[in-house]
Amino acid sequence: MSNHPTAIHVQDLRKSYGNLAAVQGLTFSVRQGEIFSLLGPNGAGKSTTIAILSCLVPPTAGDATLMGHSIRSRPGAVKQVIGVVPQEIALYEDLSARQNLLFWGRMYGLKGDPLRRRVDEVLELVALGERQNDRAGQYSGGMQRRLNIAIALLHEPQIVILDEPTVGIDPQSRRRILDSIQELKRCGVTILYTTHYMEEAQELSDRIAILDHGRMIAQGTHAELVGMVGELSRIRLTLSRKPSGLLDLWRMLASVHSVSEENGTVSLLVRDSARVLPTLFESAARETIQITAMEVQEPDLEAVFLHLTGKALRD
Amino acid sequence: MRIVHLALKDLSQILRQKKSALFLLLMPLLFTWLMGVLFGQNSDAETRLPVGLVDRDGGILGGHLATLLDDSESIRPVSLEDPGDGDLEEQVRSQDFAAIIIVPAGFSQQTLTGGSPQLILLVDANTPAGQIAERAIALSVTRLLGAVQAGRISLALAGDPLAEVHLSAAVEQAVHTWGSPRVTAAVQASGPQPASQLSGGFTQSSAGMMVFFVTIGMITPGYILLSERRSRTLSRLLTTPLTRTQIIAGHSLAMFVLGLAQLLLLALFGQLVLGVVYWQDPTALLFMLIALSSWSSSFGLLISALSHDENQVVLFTLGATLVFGLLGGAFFSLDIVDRTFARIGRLTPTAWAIEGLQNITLGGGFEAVLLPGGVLLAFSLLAFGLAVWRFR
Amino acid sequence: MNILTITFKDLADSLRKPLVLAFMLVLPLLQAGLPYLAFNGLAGGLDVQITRVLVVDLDQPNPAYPEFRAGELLTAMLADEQLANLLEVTLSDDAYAARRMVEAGQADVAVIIPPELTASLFEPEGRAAVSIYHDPTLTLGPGIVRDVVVNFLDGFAGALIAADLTTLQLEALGQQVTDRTRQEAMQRYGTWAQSVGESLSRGVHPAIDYGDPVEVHQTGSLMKAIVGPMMAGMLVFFAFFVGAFAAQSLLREDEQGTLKRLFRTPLSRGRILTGKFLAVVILLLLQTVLLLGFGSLLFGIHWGAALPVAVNGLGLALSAAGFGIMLISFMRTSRQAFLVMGGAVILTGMAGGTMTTTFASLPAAFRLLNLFTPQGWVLRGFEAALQGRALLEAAVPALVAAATGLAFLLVGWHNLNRRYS
Repeated sequence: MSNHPTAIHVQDLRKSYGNLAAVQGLTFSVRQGEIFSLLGPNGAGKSTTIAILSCLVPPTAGDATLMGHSIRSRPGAVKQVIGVVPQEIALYEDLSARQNLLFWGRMYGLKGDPLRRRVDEVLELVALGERQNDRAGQYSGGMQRRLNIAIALLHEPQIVILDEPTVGIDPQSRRRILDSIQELKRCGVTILYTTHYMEEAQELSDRIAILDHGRMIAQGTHAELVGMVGELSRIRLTLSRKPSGLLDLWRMLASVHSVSEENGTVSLLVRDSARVLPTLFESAARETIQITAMEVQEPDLEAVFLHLTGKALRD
Repeated sequence: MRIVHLALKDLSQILRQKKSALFLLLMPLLFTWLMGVLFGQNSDAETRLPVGLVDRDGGILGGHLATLLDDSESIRPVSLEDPGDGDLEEQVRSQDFAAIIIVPAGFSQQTLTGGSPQLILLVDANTPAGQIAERAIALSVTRLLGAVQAGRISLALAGDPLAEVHLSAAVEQAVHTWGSPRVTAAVQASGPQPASQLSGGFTQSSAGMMVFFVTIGMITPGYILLSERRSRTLSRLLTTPLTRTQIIAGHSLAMFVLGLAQLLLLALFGQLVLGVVYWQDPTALLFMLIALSSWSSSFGLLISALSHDENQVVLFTLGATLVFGLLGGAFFSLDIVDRTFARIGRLTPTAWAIEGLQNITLGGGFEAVLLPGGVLLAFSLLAFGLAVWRFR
Repeated sequence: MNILTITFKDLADSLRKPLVLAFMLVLPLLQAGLPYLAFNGLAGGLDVQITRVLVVDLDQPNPAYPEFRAGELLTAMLADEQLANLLEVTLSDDAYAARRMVEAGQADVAVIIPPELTASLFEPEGRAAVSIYHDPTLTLGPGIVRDVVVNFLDGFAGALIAADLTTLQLEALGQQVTDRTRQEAMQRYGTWAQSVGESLSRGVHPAIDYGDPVEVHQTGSLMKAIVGPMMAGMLVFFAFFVGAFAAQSLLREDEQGTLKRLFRTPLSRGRILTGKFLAVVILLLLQTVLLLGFGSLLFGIHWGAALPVAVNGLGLALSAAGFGIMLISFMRTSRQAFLVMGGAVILTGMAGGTMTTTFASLPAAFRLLNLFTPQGWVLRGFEAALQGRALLEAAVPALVAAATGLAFLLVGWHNLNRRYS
């Protein structure tokens, strides 16, 4: 950490809407040039955190500095060093991609030749050069997402904040977006990334923070986080009917660490899956419950989340 | 500078909405032209109210009455065949005539021989046209009786031995003289007289049209701003170094420029095509147009701040424009309505805008628009403040 | 599932939208309620505004009769107590300043009595004109002032006519004309004019029989004569908005994908569209019934005989529904629909005369233009019913409106069929 100066430092950040505490005392730091992901299910507080760091909403308590500028005392300076990619596609559909980029560039104070050059560069980066003069409204969802990202890169921000930039798009566009994020990292840009896709977090991030109910429940590199569950593997079982007492029975098994059930699918964290599986099948058969599908996975972030919260991440 | 870029972006979006040209240009130009031509033609020909005259007498006074009625500035007599009382009433009821006068048989004879026969008047004194006709008819009938009286006096004083015979000639002479009485009233409206009948007709409706369409024209920019809010580009704008105030100012600037351009175009069109006196005091006109477009832009901003979808933009804009128009005298003149209503009406921006524009067409200088323009600017500030508060 | 299921689903959908209700009822009632208040008074009874009159009396007496000044009499008449609730008279001695005050809006009317008014009564060829200078935006106040002044001056003008006629008669008979004879003529005329004036001040004209008053509108008062047509205009104007709004459900269903799903059911396309058209028609009939009812109850409007009103209500519903479906059939997305809808409905509504019902006299050309829009026809029908015209006169416009409505529907039908086939 000492090799790289801090790009983002968040200290005891809190945000409440009436009785609802959306963010509850978040503290973390992101080093310059690092990709840092906030991972968590919907409603974990990721978007609120992003909104606070983008100076869109003021925090109820706590503070954060981005490249040394406090969001409380110097929001203007913060906005100049960050580029924000909102979760929703936020661009003018009746303007062309180029016109959109020119407009947003001017909003960041760019003008003249440097602006035009920069527009060409980002069009190249997100691979929209060929269709730059088409109306943004005519683009596919994936192209709109790429343009949505390009806008945030125009003023060459030191920090790029991306809020779930790959929601609802085709695999090809998703691949392109992830590639361009890695390209940004190569250029030394600090990236704060939110997602609820653990594969993305796993692939992109130098470090990951896992959020749930507005709190940070763990942070570290992928390896560090997975290490938290140790040798635990995750087993997902689909049952023929509602299990009732069966789950309690499983929880009492010595090699079973945790059991959770969502919509007829049961997730278990177990030590030595090969040995425990026959026991599971046996006890299910005794309860006249059939196991209709089964999946065994080696330790991953999903398992970490299950381990820490007792529930699955994908819900 | 960023404010200007934001305004330019808005304007380019507005101009891209080709259908918005309907509100901004086509409709106002079409309607001001149409109203001007229609009302202008009307005043070119005959604006006097038609009054039916049924002569059942056939004597000389029926003809004299027609002459005296024709001298009136507000009514014109139309000779009618006699279809019977019931049908005549129907013609008044159906507003073919503002009123009908029946000269009963023997009217001339009795009047000239000192009797007091009466003309029959059919009128609905509850309608504005009926009231105007009734007053003008009463005046003409009094003059007719006066002519008879003057003839009789002159013959008596002259001691004419053939007074009975000469009375008709004397009455005719008197009726003729009523055409240009020696003492009379000259009515004149203040301000410059309209350059032509056409512009006279247009002047009446032009101020109302301008005020009406400049706020109706805010539908498009209101929609642009609303869709910016809904498409989250507004909240994205807030992540740029622009402040909230700068963003609102940029949008308002676009609306202001749009309103001002529309008004300038309408004023130019009125002056060049329809001959209305708008540009004789450019400073006064500009001040008034700036005040009016400030009002319309703040109004548009407030509407888009209050609306949740596109249809609401139309509803609020149209509703407020119509209600303000009704209260502020765009549909009927405030001088004929209830005193309290008029006082309330004069509190609306529409009333001030119409007053200011009319003051210009009536030849008033800068001081004549200072108060109405100032009040409009105050209204703008109020609406702007409300919109900013609402956006927060 | 049948047609009516679609109709009632759409109807319930429309009635749940506050916006539809606002266009259906709130705005039209507001638009009619305001003129009602304007002409009926806010505090029980119409309170006509006072006209501010500046009188500049420059009249000079004739040296021979220093105590007589016509200007003084005119001033006294204008300031008479009987007129105090209509005119507020202020005296001024500067004609220029008085005109400037009218121009600046500080006074409504300036009456400028010229120096030669009295002198003109004594000179054989004398002439004088009293100037009435008024704010051109005002009509009522200047009219009252003009009436008072002209009635007053007519007394003198008639007296001069009597004197001049006497002079002519005497000259024709070869007799001497003296000032005394002329004054005698004027005095006799004056005595007569005074008796007429007294009669007029009691509201009776000596030579006019008013008979039974004729009522142009069956309801009779100025207020209702304005509020009735105004409300008819607003009903027609907003009905076309509601028609277009309700027809928008087609676009929304298209965007939600439910329209395609409906097309996949065994119900034919024609029946689906008929169901939707019926929903709009019923909504409009509901609006018409409610507004006519509120108009009668709140403002005492007598809409006319039941049959012509019913025929017109149906004509309105059919034409507005057809117009709405046709408009919508030209549009692709509901987001864009509002702009075209607003433009087209305002444009045709204004051209149809729905906003100019309060104008005293409209040019014939404009009345003709009205008939190029469906709104113009419906309005014509409602006006005929309001005026108590014969059934045929009220029904013909309604039938024309209904026929155009069906023609619009066919155009809409054709467009939609082409789009979804």
